[in-house]
Formats: sequence, structure tokens, C-alpha cells
Amino acid sequence: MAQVRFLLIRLVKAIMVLLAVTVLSFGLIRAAPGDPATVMAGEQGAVDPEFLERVRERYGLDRPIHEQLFTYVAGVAMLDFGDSYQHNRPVMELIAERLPATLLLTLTAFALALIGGLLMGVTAARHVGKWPDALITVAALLFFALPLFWVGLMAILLFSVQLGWLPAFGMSTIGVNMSPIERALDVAKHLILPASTLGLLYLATYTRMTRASVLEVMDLEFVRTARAKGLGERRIWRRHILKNALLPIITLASLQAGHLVGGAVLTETVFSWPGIGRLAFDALLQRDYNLLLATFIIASAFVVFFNLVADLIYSLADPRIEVAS
Amino acid sequence: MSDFARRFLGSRSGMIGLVLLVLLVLMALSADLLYPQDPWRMAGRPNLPPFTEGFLFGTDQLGRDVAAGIVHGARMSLMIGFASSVAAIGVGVVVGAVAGYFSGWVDDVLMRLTEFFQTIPSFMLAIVLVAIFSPSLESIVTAIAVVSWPPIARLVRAEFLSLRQRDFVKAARVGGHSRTNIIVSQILPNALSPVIVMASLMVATAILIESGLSFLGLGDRNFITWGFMIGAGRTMIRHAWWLSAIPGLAIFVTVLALNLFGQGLSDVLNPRLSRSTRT
Amino acid sequence: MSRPAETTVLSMRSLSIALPPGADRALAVSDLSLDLYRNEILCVVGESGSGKSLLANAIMGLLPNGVRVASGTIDFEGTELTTLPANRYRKLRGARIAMVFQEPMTALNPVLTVREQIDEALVAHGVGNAAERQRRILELLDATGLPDPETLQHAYPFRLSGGQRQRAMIAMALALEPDVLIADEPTTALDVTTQKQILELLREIQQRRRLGVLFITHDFGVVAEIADRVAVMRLGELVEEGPARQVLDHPRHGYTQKLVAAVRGLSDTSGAAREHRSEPVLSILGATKTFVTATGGFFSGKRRRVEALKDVSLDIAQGETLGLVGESGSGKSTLGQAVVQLLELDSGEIRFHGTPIAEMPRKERERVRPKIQIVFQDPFASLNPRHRIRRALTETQVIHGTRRADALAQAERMLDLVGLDQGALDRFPHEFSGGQRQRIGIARALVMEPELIVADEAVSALDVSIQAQILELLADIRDRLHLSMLFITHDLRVAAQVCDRIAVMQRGEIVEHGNAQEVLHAPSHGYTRTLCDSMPGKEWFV
Repeated sequence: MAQVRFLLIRLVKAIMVLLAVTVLSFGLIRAAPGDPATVMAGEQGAVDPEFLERVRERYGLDRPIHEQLFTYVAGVAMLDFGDSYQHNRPVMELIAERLPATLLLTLTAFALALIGGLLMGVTAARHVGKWPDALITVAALLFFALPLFWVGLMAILLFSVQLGWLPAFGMSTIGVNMSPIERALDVAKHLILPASTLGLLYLATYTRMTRASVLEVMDLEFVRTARAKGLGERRIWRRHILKNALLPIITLASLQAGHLVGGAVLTETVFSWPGIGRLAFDALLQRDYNLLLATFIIASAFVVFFNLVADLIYSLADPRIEVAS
Repeated sequence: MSDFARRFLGSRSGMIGLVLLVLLVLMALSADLLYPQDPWRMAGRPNLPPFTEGFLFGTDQLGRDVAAGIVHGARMSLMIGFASSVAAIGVGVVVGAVAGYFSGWVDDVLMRLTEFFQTIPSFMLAIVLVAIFSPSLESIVTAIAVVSWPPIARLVRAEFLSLRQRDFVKAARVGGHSRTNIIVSQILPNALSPVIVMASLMVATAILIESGLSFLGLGDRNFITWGFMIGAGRTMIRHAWWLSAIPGLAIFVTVLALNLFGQGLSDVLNPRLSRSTRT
Repeated sequence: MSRPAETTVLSMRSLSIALPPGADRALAVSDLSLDLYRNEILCVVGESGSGKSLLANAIMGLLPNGVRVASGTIDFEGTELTTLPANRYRKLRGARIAMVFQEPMTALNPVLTVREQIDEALVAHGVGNAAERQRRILELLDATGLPDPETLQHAYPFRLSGGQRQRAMIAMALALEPDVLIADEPTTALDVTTQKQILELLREIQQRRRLGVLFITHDFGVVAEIADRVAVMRLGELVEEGPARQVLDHPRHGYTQKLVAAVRGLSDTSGAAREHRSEPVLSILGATKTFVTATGGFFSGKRRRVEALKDVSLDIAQGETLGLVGESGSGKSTLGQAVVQLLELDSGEIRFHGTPIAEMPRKERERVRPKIQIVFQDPFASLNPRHRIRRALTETQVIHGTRRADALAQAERMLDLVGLDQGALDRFPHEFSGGQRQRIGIARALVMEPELIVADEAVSALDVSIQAQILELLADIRDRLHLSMLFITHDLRVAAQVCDRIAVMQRGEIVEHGNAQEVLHAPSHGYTRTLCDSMPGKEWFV
């Protein structure tokens, strides 16, 4: 029961966040220098008077501002982001087409980073002060200082240009006939570099978080109680230390999801990965702000959804949920 | 203070970071002496590899001196990093202090706001902000500050929430000290250590965000930046790897130096935590 | 309670425990020899820093990192523990030697149920099948007096009360029927009535199972209540050892004599309780305060209401000390905070010399506020760690318009009064001991020339010898400066020593109120009687 209420609260919160993102986007359009219609139409659309008129009408830009806001929010709520002049297609269609690629990339990167980070963090904490710990913390420190897009470029330079092991661009080989299994393997091969690149920074983050959390729990009194009971070290680690140390990681890791999507813009740009990050970059080049804002709102929705899933897992895993506020 | 200095000198990572930082700052300050010419100017034949006579890091596809770009770029990176961090810390400290001291509905509202900014994809928000207000030094600094303040606010709030329950703060209230006096002279100095540590890490993150923005072409075109150089050299990666590799290394070294420096500060200021964060 | 000596179960010889380099002393425990017999409770008693807790951990083989046994032996039924390999030690721990800790909330794993935590101890030592273990768990929970073991076993620790948690801890420790039970301050975190129940439980179980119990405590009352034999430790050394009666009634070592005198001094109430018939300095009329806490977050409707104060009325006369006694959650601290204007009442009023403070004009209120000062419990938290003592003692005066030079002179006078020299002014709080800091806290209250001092558990965090000194100081200053005092404490005995009148609080209400001696020696309310009855070692004190 407490769990259900906890999740309902989170759901309401999530909807509030999305509403706020939408209002923020609208506010940005209004705050931008120049006629909002021109801003929304984008650089190319703005020179076409007919398109400009359509935009004006669609968003009721000659009506009072609260009505404009309502129209905008209502549109977003119905997943209607208008048309992109540059692509001459509805924005939502463009996004829907690109979304799977981004999901594949970010979720793979997240899984890699989380699994690797947990393993490395726990290993470091178990050997705190000894060489595995030193090695892992230094590695995390170095990864943490790497600019994501540069890592991508260097990876291309090494693994594609120099060694020729992996494809550098795109999501699949174009113009070749392949069976479904071959196709899947082909995509997987294309996925390796971008996903590892995107995962690397978060690997460092999760490693640090995990290490700190495990070290903190190791010092808690109930661990001493477990030892006093004569439990074996493996059992103490599994049931007492890890169970308590990894719970907060669920929440902390999901809080990083927002950064992961942001990182996807850079990664997709570097690897020409056909996702919404790349779409956002194209929109940026063409000054197609309506499309850019739509990708921003959808990316936010993704993050909010991601956090909700994390909350769900957390609520099932932690018995104290009803006392946490 | 001398105790502080002595302990910092004893922190290996802190000292490495400090030395690297001093070198970087010196490099940035002496940019006009080392390379008095405009770094955008064509200085030699295009695409010269590193260590060519007169061009330490070679030249790009337009014959611009990469080394000059690196040195002048250091200025931009450090300046934007510091400026946006100062702004973000200012906002974060004020929001966190107010939320933590007053609690109740003020806290609720401010924390909802903070959570909101922490949830939404921050780098994308920065892109949107810079794109819509057109790239300039001011818009970039503002955008980075807007996406960077929430962690500071949360940290300061948590410190305030715990400090304001302390008896010495209660004693000041019983003594009739004003709110401002209590916040500024009783609580804030005790909350500052972790903020200082986080600040040095924040400069590092700000530099990374800035480089990402200019890589995407969202830099101020009046100044050369490392991110821009990587973005410009990107298409040449098969033929002139150094155009992307060298500026990236510069970013890496700078960010690493700041992280190491922050680590050193953390060891000195939060001795309790240092065991879990020491490298 | 003394009995013929039985066989030794645990024997320490010339035991020294080394602290890591840089600690305030090299050896936490030095050259200690001590025996624990079967079927007895041996109390190891000492003040903070005596090394008593490390001794317990050394026996368990659970010394913190960096701390190690430097020399000597610990013999457990013929097994030498100091050199025992880890895997054999593990088999011993929990099975033959078990331990109960001070703070049951943190000593239990928050994400495992009571059953799971007892069960894993049984599993670790290879006890029977699941059905057998389940039977044992229910038996244990029942034996430790937990209600409805069938349901309670599935509860998580945060669901239980403090006393229930400690019972669960004890059940866990007893799961494998150990020969030795080490109890490290097992009742220190509990209220006095709960403490009594847990002490009774421990005594009962010890006798039923003929356990050897090593009981670590700082409290001589507890010692008097439960010990068969006593070992007194001071700065890592064993200063005195013997049968409980002998050590308590005829201590031989100077240190023990001093400690016992300090504790007994607490119950010497002959000087207290004077009549005061002057106009009240402070009147509390119908004070009511309800705390509403959200338990489910921002949007949830679930609120918990705690009535901290229910229509409380009290007077304090000039020069009088009123004791406010109660257990945790009784509302006594809430009332103290309301008196010093740290929190607002929902209804009711607080009058200073007859005028309700809340109704005073702002100017007047600001003038009056420093006349009511407070001394806090924790001397480590009550001084701003970043300010020198000079600033701590002068800042408030300057804010209220005293000239800096006058403020400093006043600070010096008050430091002198609390028994500290002028050199203290230029130092930071961390350079002082707990007792010294408490003196500084008192000086800070005094510089404002208050008429009323609220002492909120002002001696509870201090070692017993320091406690006596601070109490003496408070009484002395009160008499010299004709101060009134609201003395808030959980300890009836401490209250009886310094207070003229005592008000006993329970769940936000004053259940008994009267002359200190009468309340202590002839309580009329049932709850007060329970409180008096629960005071550990009361027979010894009388």
C-alpha cells in the first residue's frame, strides 16, 4: 500500500516535471529575440510567408499569451509538435523514427556503465588501500576527465581508421542484403564504439558512487553485528554490505540518466548515429528551433520515465520506503 | 591557515593538480606574449604535422597554428569555467541557504525547482539556451550556470538543515542575533568546506560542457576554443589526426588538474570523507 | 547476589591493545588481567576513554582497523583467542561468545527482518533444518519477552521500539546458546523504564542459562543493579576489581572512591529544596504544542500528529530551581525551547515578570530575550567550531549594544566565575575538553546577565565525575547571582540534587508536581513511581 502511494506520488511528480519542461520551452520561444513565429518556423521556414502564416495560426500567436501557452501545452500533451519546414514532415514523425536508435544506444551504454561501475566500485572497496583500489580509482579519475566527443573521435581513429576493426559511422551497413541475424550482428558491431564511448564517463561516475557507498556501509554497526554473529565474509558482503550499499545506487544512477541523454547528442553527432541526438544537432545547424525543442521535451520525457522505473525498482527493494519522505 | 597549507602540501593529488593548474593559468595569461598574432590567422602551409619547424603542434586545414589555438583556447576554457562556476555557486548557495534555513514551504518550492533542473537533460538544456539566445560569451556562461547550480543548492541545503539544528545556532537565536547574522556568520562558514570542494569539480564540469557546446558549433566565434578546434578538425581525422587529438588532450589535462586539485582540497577540508575518496 | 566462585570461562592476562600511531595515547588497554567466571555478571565500568569498549571488541576479535592486540593473552575455555585463525574465530563468534551492542537501531540491518537476522546466525553455525530454526526463532523471541513472535518476526527493525530492538538483539545473541555474552552499554540508548526491563531480562537469562556476562557500562547505578563483580578501568588500566558490594560500598582505589563519591553525591539531596515565595519570574500558562510531520512526502495526505505539550502550566520564582523530568518524547525539551523562544506555542502563553512575552512590543521583547538563557546538552555542538571563545562570549553582548571593551571585561569575569582562565579567550572550542566546553557554554549564558537559565540536559553528555563538578558549579552560580533555573533532565536523581521543585512530564503533560524531596521519596503519581522504581541501583543509593 505504501509502495503504491509512493509510486503514485512519483507519477504525479513526473507529470509535473513534464508540464514544467513544456512551459519552459514555450517560455524560451517567447524570450528569444525576434518574432516567436519566426523562431518556431526556423531559419528556412521563416522566409516562406505561407509556412509562417501556418505556424502563426497553428499556435494562435495572434491570441493572448495564456491562450498561446494553453495551445502549446495541449499540443505537446497530444504529442503534436507541428511540422518541420526543413524536413517537410510532422516533427513527431521524425522523432518517432529516430527514437529507437537513441534508446538502443543509451540503454546499452547505461547497462555497460552500470554493470562495469558496480563491479569496479565493489572491487575497489573490497581492496581499499591496496593496488586494485588504487588502479580503479586512478582509472575512474582519468575517465572522468575525458571529453566524451573526443574519446569518440579517438576511438574512431584507433579502431576504425588505424586498425579497421569496427565501423566508424552510422547504425548499419547500407545497401547490402542481409538476413535478420546478420542485420542484428551488423547493428551490434556499429553499436560497440558509440555505446562504449557514451558509457565510459558514466562508468567512472558509477564506479565512484559504488565505491563510496560500499565503504560507507562497511563501517556501519550492523556489519559488526553480522561479524559478531559469526557469519562468513561472503555472506556478510552479500546480505549486509551489498544489499544496503547498492540500494542508493539505484536512485543515484537514475539521476544521471539526464546526463546520459545529453551525452547522446555528442555521441550521436560524432558517430553519425541516427537517433534524436543527431536530429537535435541537425536542427541546431538549420536553426530549426521547433524541432530542437521537441527533441528536448522528448529527451526529458525519456529521463522522467527512466527515473520512474528506478523508483519502481527502489520501492520493491527497500522495505523502508514508507518512512522515507 | 598554515595548518591548511601544510596539509594540502602533503596531499599528492592536490599538489599535482595545483602545479598543473598554475602552469595552465600561466599559459593562458601569457597567450599574447607567446603567440601575439591572432590565432585565427593563417600562419603557414595547411595540414603540417606536429613538430614541423616553427609549428609545435602543426597547422590545420586553413594553415592556422594549432599551438597558438591551444594557448589562446586555454584562456577561454579557464575563463568560462570560472565565470560560470562562480555564477552557479552564487545561485546554488543562495537557493540552498534559503531553503535550508527557512525550511517549510519555501524549502518545498525551492527544492522542487532544484529537482526539476536536476532531472531534465542538462546538456540539452544548455544547447537549447545557447542556440535560442545565439552563441556568445554571456549566453554560454549563463547556460552553463543555469544547468550547474542544482548540486550546490542541494549540498548547501543539506548542510544548513543540519547546522541550523546545532546548539550553537540555537544559542545565537536565543541571544537575539539577526537572521542575516546567523546565516552569514554562524552557519555559512561551517557549510563552506564541502562547497569549496564541489566548486573545484564544478569548474572542471563547466569546462567539459563548454567544450561540448563549442564542438557542436555553439561557441562564441570571436574567440578560439578547444572544443571548436576539435569540431573543426573532426572531418580531417583520417588525414590530420592531431587537429582533434591535441586540443582534446588539453581539455583532458585541464579537467584532470581541476579534479586532482579538488581531491586535494577534499582530503584537507573533509578529513572524515577523505578515506573514501582518496586516490 | 554474590555466589561461590565458579569455573573461569574467559581469562585475560597482561593484555595490551595498541592504538594506531597519532592517537592520544599509545595503548588503549595496557597490561590488563581479568577473569570472567561462568554464571556471573562482571561489570567493566569506566568513563569515556577508559578503553572498556575496545576490550570488548578485542575479545570478539572485532577490533577496528589499525587497532590491535599488542601483547598478552585472551583464553576462552582453553582456546587462545589472540592468535586464533580467522575461520576458527568465526565459528566461535556468535556461537560460544556473543555480543549485544549499545545502539540497537544501527546494530540491526535495516533491510532484513528480525527473523532473517536471527535465522542467518543459526544457518551460519549449521543449525538444523528450516523448521527447526523457525521453532528456535519463535522460542527466542518469546524468551526475550517480545509480544506476538509469530507476527513480529517478520517486522523490519524500523518498525520496532527501542526496547523491542534491543530484545531482538539479545534474542539474536542468544540464538546459539553461547557461554559468554558481552554486552557493550546495552541500555545506554534506552529510556530509564525500558532500561530496567532490559536489565531484568539480562539478569533473568543469565541466571537461567548460567551465562558468563561481561557487561560494559559507564553507569554506577547500572553496576549496582546488575553486577556480581566489578572491574573499574581508567585510561586503559584496571584500577580495581572485586565483588560488587565491596567495590561499591568500600572502594579501595582513589579513582573508584572519587567516582563513587561523585555518583553518591548525586543522590545526596540534603542541601536542596528551599521554599520560594516571591513573585514568579516566569509563568507558563496552558502551553500547548502539536507537531505535525509529513511521513509520505510532498503530496501525501498522511500526517503524524505528536502532541508535545498539552496545556502545561508552571511558575518559577526568583532564585528557584524547577526540575522538569521525563523520558524521551515527554515534551520536556519542547517546553524548554518554548521558554527561550526557540519555538512558538500553538496556544498558551509564557509570561516574564507577569507580562506575556508574545504580546510585548518588539523593542521590549528584544530587551527581555537575553534575560532568559539556555545551556545545552552536547558541549561539542553548542559552540561554533569556527569562532574563538572571545567571539562566542562577546558577540551577543555587542549585538545588544554593549561596548566591545565592556563586553570583554564581562566575558573575563564570567570565565573566572566558571573556573577558566583568561587564556581560554584566544582558543577555539576544539582545544577544550567536554567539561571545559560546558563551562564555556555556561559562561556564554551568564554574560548576558540573565534572570533565568534553562539547563537542557546540561550534564547528561558528561562523564560522572565531570557531571558532579558542573552540577556544583550551576548550583553555586545560581545562588551567587540569585538566578532562577529551569533544569530539564531525564534523571530524577540529578534533578533531586539541584532542584527545589520537580515537575514530572509524560506524553506532553505534567503528571506530578511538587517539592523535590517529596516527588523523589514519596511519589504520588503512578508514572513517577515507575520512574523512581526504574532508577538503576536505587537500593544502593538509599
